[in-house]
Order: sequence, then C-alpha cells, then structure tokens
Amino acid sequence: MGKKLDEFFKDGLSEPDLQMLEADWAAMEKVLDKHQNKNDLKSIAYVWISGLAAMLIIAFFLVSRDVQPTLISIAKKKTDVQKTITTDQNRVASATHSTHVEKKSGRKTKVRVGSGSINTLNVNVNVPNLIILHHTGIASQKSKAKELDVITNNESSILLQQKDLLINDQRSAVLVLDTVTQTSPTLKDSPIEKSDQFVKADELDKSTGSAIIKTKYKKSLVLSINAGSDVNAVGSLKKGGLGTNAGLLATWQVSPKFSLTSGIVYAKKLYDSEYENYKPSVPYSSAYHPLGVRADCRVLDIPININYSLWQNSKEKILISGGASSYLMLKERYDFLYTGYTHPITYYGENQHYLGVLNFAMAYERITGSKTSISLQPYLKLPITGIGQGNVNLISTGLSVNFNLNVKRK
Amino acid sequence: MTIKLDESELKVLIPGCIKKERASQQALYKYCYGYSMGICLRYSQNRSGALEVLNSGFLKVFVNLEKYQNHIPFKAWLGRIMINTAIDHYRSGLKFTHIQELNDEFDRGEVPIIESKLNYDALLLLVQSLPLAYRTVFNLYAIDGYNHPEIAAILNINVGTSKSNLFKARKKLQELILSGSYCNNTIQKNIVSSAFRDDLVLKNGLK
Repeated sequence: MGKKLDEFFKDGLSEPDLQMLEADWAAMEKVLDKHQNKNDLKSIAYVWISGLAAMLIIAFFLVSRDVQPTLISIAKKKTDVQKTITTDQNRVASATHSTHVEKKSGRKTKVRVGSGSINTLNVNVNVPNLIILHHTGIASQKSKAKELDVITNNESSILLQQKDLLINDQRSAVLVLDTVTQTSPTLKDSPIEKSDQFVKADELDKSTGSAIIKTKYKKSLVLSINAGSDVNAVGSLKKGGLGTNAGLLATWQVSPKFSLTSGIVYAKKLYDSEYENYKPSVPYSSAYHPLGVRADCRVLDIPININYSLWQNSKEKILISGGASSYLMLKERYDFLYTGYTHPITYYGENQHYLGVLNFAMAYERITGSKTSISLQPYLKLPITGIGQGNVNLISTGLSVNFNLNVKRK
Repeated sequence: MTIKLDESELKVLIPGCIKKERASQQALYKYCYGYSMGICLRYSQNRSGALEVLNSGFLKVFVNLEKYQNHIPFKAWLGRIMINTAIDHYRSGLKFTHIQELNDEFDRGEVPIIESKLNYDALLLLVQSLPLAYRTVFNLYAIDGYNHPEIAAILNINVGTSKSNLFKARKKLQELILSGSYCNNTIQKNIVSSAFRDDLVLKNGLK
C-alpha cells in the first residue's frame, strides 16, 4: 500500500503545469543583482587589499632593512664654521672661520662616543667654533663605545652635550663641542657617521653654547604632474569602462606628517549602464525604454585631499589620503542603446557636483633628486551625489603616477 | 510549463547565460520554471518558501552553468540542483521550521476546480502539510527516487530514521486524506470530501 501511495503522489506531483509569474522573475533579478554587487565589492576589496598588502610589504622591507646612516645636510650659512674630520689616526681637524687650518696640541679630553671612525679631534679654540657630529640612523642599533680624544690647543674647556633628536623619525645624537665648559657625558647608542662627513648647526645658542638644530621637517610646496588610468562603473565593474586622466596638483606640507593637496585634473570617464540606473531629474517621456546607456564624459576633477605620512625616510615615503572632489561635467555624451539603433544625446557644461565625490588613496613616493620625486597612487572615488545628467552612482578606481617638484623649501 | 528544452535552444541560451546576459537568463528561467518550481513546492511549506528555494537554486544554476557538461541531461542536472538547494534549506531550518502545518493557507490562492489541477493542488497541500522531516524524506524517496542509504547520507541521519520518517509520512498522509482536515478552506473541503477523497480511498484501498 505504501508503494501505491508513493506512486499516486509521484504521478500527481510530477511535471506540474506552472506558469512563471513576473513577480517571481523580478525577485530572481534582485537576487542576481545582489550577487553581482557582492562580486564587484569583492573585486574592489581584492584590488585594495592587494594594493595595501603590497604597500605594507614594501614598508616592512624598507623599515627592516639596514639603513645606511646618512647625514642630514643643513643649509650652510656664511658665518658657520666648517669642520672636516678624517679617519686618519693623525687626523687633523681643520677648523677655521674661513680658510686657514691650525693644528695645535693641547689638553686631551676623553669622551666616550658611539662606534665610529673618529679617533681624535683637534679643535682650534682660538676661533669660535662649533663642531657637531651628527648622525642619523636606527636608534636601536647597538654600537660599541669608543673613546674620542678631543684635543684642545689651550686651556679652554669643552662642552659635550648629548641630544636625542627626532629628525625624520629617526633618533640622532648630537655631539657638540664648544669652548665653554667641560663635561664628559657618555653618549649611548650614538653611532657616529663616517668621519669625513659633517653637519653644521643651523644656529648657535650663545647663552648655553649649544647647537640648535632647526626644524625637524621642511615646509615645502610641491607641484605635481599627474597622469593615470581608471575603471569607471555604475553598479557593476564588469560593465565599467577604462578612462584616463591627467592634471596638475599642488601639495603643501603643513606639518611633519600632514600635507594638503589640491589641483585640477582632466578626466575622461567612459562607462556602460543599465537604463534603470539612469535617472535624469526630468525623466524622458518615451514609450520605449532603451536597453542601456553608453556614456562618454569629460570631467574636470578638482580634489581637496589631506595626506598623512605613514612612514618615511630620506628616500621614500608612504602616505594615505582622504578628501573630496568636485566634478565639473564639461561634456556628457550618452548613447541610448535600442534594438538595432543608437540614439546619442550630448550635454555641455550642464552639471556640476561640488565636493560630490569622496577620494581615498594610498601613495608610495620615491625621492629622485634634491627637489624631485615620483609617486604611485592607487585610488578609489565614491560618489555621494548622483553624477551627470543621469544622476548615476559613478564609481572610479585606478592608479595614477605623479611627477613631483619641490618648489619651495624652508 | 513542462520543461521541453531542445538541444538547439539550450545551445543558444546557455552561452548567453554564462556571459551573464539578462535576456538569456530570463529565457532559461522561464523555460525551466514549471519543473523547478514543482520540485521546490514539494519540499517547501508554502509558496513563499518555495520561491526562495527556487531563486537560490537558479542562482546556483547561473553561477555554475559553465561547469555543466553536455553528457548529463540538463533536466537531471537542474533537478539535482533544485533538490540540493531544498535540502540546504532543510538543513539550515530557514523558514521550514515545524509550525502549524494544517492551518497555514496563505500564498495558496484559490483552489481551481479543474480536476487535474485539483489533483495537483490537493496533493501538494497534503505533502506540504507534513512535518519538515517527514516531507523531506517522502519527497526524496517517493517522488525523486532516492533510496534510504542515499537519503541517510544526504540528510545526515541513519537509515533507520529515514525508514521511520517515510513510514510516518505515509501514515500521516493517509490520515489527512481520510479526515479531510488538511483542507482549511470550505471549497477545498467540499471538493475534496466529495469525489476526490473517495477516489483516493477507492483507488488506494485507504481506510
């Protein structure tokens, strides 16, 4: 009986004649759209995570590698005294105001310093002089202490001071010799640069006789030529188009870590969109809706971004940026796609979106010269208003290259 | 609509669906709707639940269509996906929890009086009235042709439980048919209590 019941139900329930309801297909479309959006978000997330991972790997590599000590060059002043220190055992310190060198013997003072190649230092105390041995390096590097024989040519005293300064985020030691008092502090973890290099103080504090190292960063104005390529999409990146952009930017360093960027970028934004995503303020009165819209827009992008330096040394820098852009739509051409034909419509200067797009970016900058650098910057632009004649949700993501020139340094 | 896709139509629709062309996806959905929805309705408690299973199943179809191999009949491949999707919902318990099986009549609409449709709707009502576990085993065994070891593996139960649930399902169906209490609607009850139920009793020796 059980089998009979089974067969009865099987016969009755197999192959029902059910007609599709439009509402059921509408629900299916929502499922498909949601799945597509999820994939797009995943794609964007993968690109950003990959870019971020690459940046972190680069940053880790840069931070963890042995950084060769480099000296900070401080601008010379005409009145500054210049010292040259050599590595020779019979090193002679030429210390003069201008050109002559004096070599005299005098009282020797032992000073413990970090490892380095300086063995003795002759100081000519007949002229006001200030010697600073300044070194930048990783503070955690342990150095063996050495003794520095400081020989003065008379009874003058020598002031030794240790200063731990943070310059470019790296701890430095300053060994200051002056002819005011005599102390012999122990300098710890202060590796000394090669003795044939030198730095000078920006100023002298005459009351204490100590050196003053000026500002820890350089206020600067950097002009950049910007060029890039990006994907522009409405709804789905798979329907996105490849666009290009180029422009001029200016970046003002306002603090050691923060800078502001603005400028003007001309962008070509190409994309395809489903007609349902195209929502003009005044809807078109047509009985026939197009299958889709193909857009070619020329835009002036005026960004205002804040940049934060995550990590930097004298050669490289990694930054993150955030801000907003204003889009001035110079020209918008929309091809409305119907079965068998296309209907184009073009608008000129009809839409402006002030601070209507959010900007997110990271940048890797490489110093290429005393005033020049080059940077790579992946970015993402998300609209907070509808863009263009169709008020579309236009997302852009891509990569730009900046060629930078520092035009103002203090 | 009974699925009657021929090879030439499939050859056109499947590549379009793989390219995610919405028109092709809609055409395939429409062609396969009747067969697929029939499966989903049997495994679900109501139409809204069946629609959820149907659309989840079709999403899997569209996502995995490039993996479809021509040597397997498309209908069998599609049916397997729909059944698996229904089983997934059974496992997660989503909207298939054991609730008042006899009083739930929303989404059912009116009962048509055409006999063939009446048979279908009435039989569907009976199956949907079963508790979740009984309904699932009954569908897998009686209608979709799985044996008890296969059902046990699919549902992660033992063979004895599968047999027990089938027995209980059949018993429950008989009770429902004979009592007519599965029909909460007066029209349904009147119609079923007249010719149909008697026919069922006569044809199947149910008492």
